[in-house]
Amino acid sequence: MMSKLELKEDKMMEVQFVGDDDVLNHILDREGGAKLKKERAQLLVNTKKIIKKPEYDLEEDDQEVLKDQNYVEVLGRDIQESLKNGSAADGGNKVYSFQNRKHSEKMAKLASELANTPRKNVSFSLKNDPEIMINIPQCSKGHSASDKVQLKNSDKSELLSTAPSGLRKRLIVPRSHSDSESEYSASNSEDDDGVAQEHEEDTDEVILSQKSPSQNRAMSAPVCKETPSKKMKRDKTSDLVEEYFEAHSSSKVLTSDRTLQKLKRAKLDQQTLRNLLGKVSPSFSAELKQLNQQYEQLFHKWMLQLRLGFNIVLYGLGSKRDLLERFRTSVLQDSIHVVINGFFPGISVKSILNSITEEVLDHMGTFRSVLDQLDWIVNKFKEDSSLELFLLIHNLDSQMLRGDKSQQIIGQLSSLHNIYLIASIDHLNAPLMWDHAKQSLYNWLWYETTTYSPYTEETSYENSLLVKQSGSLPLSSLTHVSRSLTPNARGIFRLLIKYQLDNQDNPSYIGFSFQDFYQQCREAFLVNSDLTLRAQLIEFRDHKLLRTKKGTDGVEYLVIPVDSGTLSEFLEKEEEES
Amino acid sequence: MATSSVSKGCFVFKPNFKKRKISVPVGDYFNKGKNESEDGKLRFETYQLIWQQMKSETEQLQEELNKNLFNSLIEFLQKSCSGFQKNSRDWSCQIKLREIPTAALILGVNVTDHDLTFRSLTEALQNNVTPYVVSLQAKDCPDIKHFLQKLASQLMGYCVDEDSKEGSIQVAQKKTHCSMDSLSSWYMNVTQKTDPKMPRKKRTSSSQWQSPPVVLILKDMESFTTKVLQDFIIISSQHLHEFPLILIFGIATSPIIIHRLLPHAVSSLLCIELFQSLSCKEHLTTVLDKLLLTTQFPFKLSEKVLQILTNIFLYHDFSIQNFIKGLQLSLLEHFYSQPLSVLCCNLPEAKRRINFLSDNQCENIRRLPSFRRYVEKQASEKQVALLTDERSLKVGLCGCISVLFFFLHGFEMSSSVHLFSSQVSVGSTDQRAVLHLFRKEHMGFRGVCVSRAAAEDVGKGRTDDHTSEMFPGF
Repeated sequence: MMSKLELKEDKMMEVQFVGDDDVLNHILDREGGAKLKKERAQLLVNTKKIIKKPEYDLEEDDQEVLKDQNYVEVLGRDIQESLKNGSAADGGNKVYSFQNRKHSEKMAKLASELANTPRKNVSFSLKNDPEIMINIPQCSKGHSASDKVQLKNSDKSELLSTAPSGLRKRLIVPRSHSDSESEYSASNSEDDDGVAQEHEEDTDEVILSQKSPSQNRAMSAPVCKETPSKKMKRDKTSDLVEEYFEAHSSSKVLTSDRTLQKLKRAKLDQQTLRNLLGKVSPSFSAELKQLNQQYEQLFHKWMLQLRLGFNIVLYGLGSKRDLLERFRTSVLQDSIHVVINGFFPGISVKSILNSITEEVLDHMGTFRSVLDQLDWIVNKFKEDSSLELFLLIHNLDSQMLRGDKSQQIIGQLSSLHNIYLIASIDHLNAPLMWDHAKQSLYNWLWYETTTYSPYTEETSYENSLLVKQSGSLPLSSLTHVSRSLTPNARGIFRLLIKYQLDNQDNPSYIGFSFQDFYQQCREAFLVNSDLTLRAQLIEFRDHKLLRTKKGTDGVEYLVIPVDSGTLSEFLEKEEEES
Repeated sequence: MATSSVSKGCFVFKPNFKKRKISVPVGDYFNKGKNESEDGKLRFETYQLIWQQMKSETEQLQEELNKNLFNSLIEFLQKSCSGFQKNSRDWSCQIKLREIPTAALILGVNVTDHDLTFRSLTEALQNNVTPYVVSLQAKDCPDIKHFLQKLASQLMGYCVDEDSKEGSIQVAQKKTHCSMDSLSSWYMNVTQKTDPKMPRKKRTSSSQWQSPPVVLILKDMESFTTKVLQDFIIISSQHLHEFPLILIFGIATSPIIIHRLLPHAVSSLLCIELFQSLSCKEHLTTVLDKLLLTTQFPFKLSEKVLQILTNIFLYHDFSIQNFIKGLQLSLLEHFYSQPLSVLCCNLPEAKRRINFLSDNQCENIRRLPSFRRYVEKQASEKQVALLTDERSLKVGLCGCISVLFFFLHGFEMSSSVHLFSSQVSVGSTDQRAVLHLFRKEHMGFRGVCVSRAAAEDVGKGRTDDHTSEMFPGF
């Protein structure tokens, strides 16, 4: 109800409010619309009453508040005080409350700007209004009324938010979303169909307009849900600050359920992805080239500074690998240098030290520990001052190297006057790896080298979200393996596949128990003893096409670790062939 | 690319002609970056000269500042050594023998500087008290076993130096099992062995004792595990009569930490004496006085750079090393990026170099804003001469440079006079404020006067930008 008042006062929202009736009439059946209208009219009257005769209203409220002394006890200091004042002298209360409201409204506006979501704004101003705190009993009386208000709000939000096409199902979804959280999440998951529709590009205007308000209702549902629960909270924590943060705390409403899973062409294989990316022409290539040339002019300076005992660290957005590579090829050709790919998943300090001892220093012995090895290297470099070594480390802050010990060792290496280190870091918090002691070991000079180039090489060891991981490989291996088998073994495997496919929708399915499987195989005249069955299964297990696990009851369960799509495809192919 | 592989992450590149180990002289990189740069070699040499001077100056400074501390430490050590030697049957002495003499060295939070202090301390101790000085760090000693191992290997290390072959075998043996017993037996062995050889050895000062004590320095006492420390102290106090040990704790925070780390039963085994090192702020002040506020070095920092460096010092790390590193960087940057920085040297040399300036460099000078202002103030015929004739330009420059150096002298003199007067008269103006005032005046002076090159000595322009660039987040 108060939110209504808010809306009235808020110019921006008022404008959008006008269209509601039409939309409502359009969508909802006549009856509901009429009812709504009536309700709204009432509300409007109410609000006017409040605006025009605040004294009366407040008096009434105050009495009610006094009745609910318990609540008042719990209220925050300021508001409690103002309330008490109000009961003593009406005029004072009025002044207080209005002042307060204006102030809070300002805050609400500010907050709405920050939050940038109209829905939030509504819920926030609703909570934040001190007026409402006084009007609590009234609100709770007209519970259904407040629900309606929410409905209206939802209509308004429809216009603000670019209404995504929902689904027809929504219309059937019961209207009273106000009660439960679970209902909301359920309706959320129903979206699947809607998204699917979207991808069929079924954007019929009529359907869209029919769908959208219902969806919006669903979206505003949590706001409705909030109101009753918030009322209690409001009594307890009247602190504006806390409410501010509450309003800004993440709510489920904002979480989009448009995930990659929902895409029609969800997964590509590596090759297609690469092809697609290859087609994209890089933007601003001329500028990027210029940028890179600027950095290249620094090469000599870097060399100078490296030689004078500093080490260089490059930071900034974009892959710095190419830059370092150019540095290497243009200046380091005549000196011994080691390139270390920090992003390589198998990299370790040990391997770095090994490559220094074995390949640079031609030492064939082994070392008891990494520290021993380090000591040996340090001594070697200290003894022979003509020895010089450049270390180029891409991604010094990678998973494998960011550990304290690794950093300590690399730092100790770099502190030698004839080992020169030039490294790149990418993580925002990478400098936190180094405490004072390490920093003084490293003796860094920082260069910002933002290249904006893609981290192609660096991420090549990672799995892309867009790439289908287990695509054609299992299918081909399945057919390959099954072709090399005896008909009996093939039958056994087919039996298992069928059983697994039959049970694929069963969430509690953990596998085919060995005994049952044996029984079925026997019945199909595929094996004559469980030993032979086990012997047959070994073949599959060796090809990683079968996994056994012990259930809680100690029974062995057999599972094929291949997704059901591939399995059914395999079965189809098998049947075609036979 | 040559450096991408699915099977390895390290790629070693060795040039083919590795037999002839040519390394490009560092100075070459000074030129190559900028083709138009003048006198690159000369500038680099000047840089190296000034930097070497500054470096040795700071080292000397450090030594001087530490001298008092070291002297008192050495005195303490000698006193406690003599305690070991007395070997009297006196009851109080026997009690005292149970206590390990311990020096708690409060060094302040500038952890990165401690290494240097400890290094020179070790040297000083080795020269004056005992050859057996061992320093341990917390990260080497996660448990008592490693602790003893490290201690042993370092001690035996000294032994190896003295009698080469036998020692190495010993080390190999001892690495496997180390105990206090083995240590003390080793100690007996060594002291008895070296005794007859004593005259041959050069260890003059330590020879005054039959058995020099073993000094153990724990560099970062706070980060040691309490268990390790406690165990070690208890064990070694039991062996004190045969293994004379003296502890030195390096403490970064406050002496209370000893009692917080060690329970009473353990700390009562220590005979602790506190030593306070010079505060790093005072250290910085002396460094500033000796490096920047003197005429010895023509290189000066501008206000901005100095601000950055002192801010890093005060708000970030309290590290003199870092400050000096920053100073080095700005010095390098200055000589690298300013062609006219050739003139940043002492007066006679600068005058000589002015006479050898090339035409290009003369043009550079004419382009300087400060020089323009200077020209504008001259009479018209002199203006023409300055702008067209190299000869008169050089003559003019020589005059200007002399004025600048004269000013610098006056600056130093007056600051010392102020220092003096502020010490004499009570409640006089703060010395720093005065210095600041002078600095301001100095800046103003730079505006009116002379060549940019000399003005560059005051450091500025690009140096500012670069220094701040290279310390992001500070």
